[in-house]
Amino acid sequence: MNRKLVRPADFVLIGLVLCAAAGFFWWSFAQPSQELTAVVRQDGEVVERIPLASITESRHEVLPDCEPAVCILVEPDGVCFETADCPDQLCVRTGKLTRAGQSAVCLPARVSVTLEGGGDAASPDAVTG
Amino acid sequence: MQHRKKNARVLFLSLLLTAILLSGCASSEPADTTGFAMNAVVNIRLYGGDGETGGQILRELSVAEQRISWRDEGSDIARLNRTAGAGEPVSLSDETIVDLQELTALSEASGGAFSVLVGPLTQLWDIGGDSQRVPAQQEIDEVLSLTGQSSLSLTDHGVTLSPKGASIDLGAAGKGIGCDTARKVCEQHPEISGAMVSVGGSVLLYGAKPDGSEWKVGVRDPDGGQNDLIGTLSLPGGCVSTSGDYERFFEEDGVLYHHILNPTDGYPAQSGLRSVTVWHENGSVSDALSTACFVLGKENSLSLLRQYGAEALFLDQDGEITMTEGLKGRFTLSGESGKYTVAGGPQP
Repeated sequence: MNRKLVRPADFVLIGLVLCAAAGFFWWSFAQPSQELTAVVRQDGEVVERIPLASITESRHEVLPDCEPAVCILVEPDGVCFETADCPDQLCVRTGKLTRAGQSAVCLPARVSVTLEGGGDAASPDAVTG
Repeated sequence: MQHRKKNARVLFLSLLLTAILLSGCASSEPADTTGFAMNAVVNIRLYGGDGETGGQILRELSVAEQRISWRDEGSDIARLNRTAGAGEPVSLSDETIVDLQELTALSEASGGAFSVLVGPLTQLWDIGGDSQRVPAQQEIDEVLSLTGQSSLSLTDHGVTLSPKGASIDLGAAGKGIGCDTARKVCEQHPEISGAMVSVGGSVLLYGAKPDGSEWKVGVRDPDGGQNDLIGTLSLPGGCVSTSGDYERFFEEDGVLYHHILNPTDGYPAQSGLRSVTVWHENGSVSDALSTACFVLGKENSLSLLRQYGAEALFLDQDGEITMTEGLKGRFTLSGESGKYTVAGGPQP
């Protein structure tokens, strides 16, 4: 007698699998957001990833081979350009980044700092201006 | 035999489970790339693409910059500028010719509020550069006389610029051109279902996000830092560019001189506006229109925007925000600063 690959009882099992998958997706979206991470890029390349949760006291990061020189301050609640030798100081004036999606840039030094993670649904996809 | 069939069933169900669990993951996670091009920070978010495609976009932006930047000696624009007044047509790339045709037409439509022939004026002021200063009136008059006589001729034989000393500067539309360049790369990759590419504040919104929600674009607060907003626009796609008096400026004797020069009088435009944000399907048009509208002012911009099918949001010096009909209902005021208000849109 020819037996089919999938028997009626298997449909019950498939249904259970689908329920398990749905439960998995619900669980994954319901998880607390990822922790905030300061991502430092130089010339577009990531040079440092610093989870803010790992910071217990202020940390000053001076990037090597950076002209003009910049110093990045990482604290438990955020990150900022502390000092920069660029003429316009726009990066320093940006202030402390405290929410996911925020970024500060020193264009002359080609250094950017972005706060990633945190799953802030209120953050825009982009900023114009 | 029974044992083999049981194994086949288990294998089939395992594969089914794996496929279900994995199917949603890859397509919803975006690929982010950040870099520098066109003298600006470039942020790329691709849905359906990967880091390689993001890298390709950055490379194409650099190629576009090498084509249109007057500062790059080998660029189409620099080569054209060097021949000003010689009377000989110059052969340029097809892309540059298309850009010049489009922007020259926009210049005429704007009554000269936007001009590609402002090179001598922008170089005179050099705002944001090492030689920035307030020029003497005589210097400005001489440059205006030159730019007033400058002309660009595009024929089948090439492009001719005259007279001697005339020069093209596409800086006011460059980042928008970058957005168009990024769009072309996305169109070459059918796996990309949606993308956001920001080129120094000009933004391309391509396709759709996986959840189908509209793109949210923050509009920068002129008096805040890079992350402070006056509000957020919800948009289905297209390109957005902003021109504002806070982007590049210098101060002399207590007066602020910003970089958006009025080609008519040779001075930083004084139109009562702090910033103008323009939406259009095309990036270079959105960028050029944002400059033109800043120079023209709110009321004088409306017919130009209608002509191009563009929409705009104006922030004036009193902190009042107005917008054209197409953006009403799409803007959410940010409550962070509390100093801006939304008024009804300008009447057509």
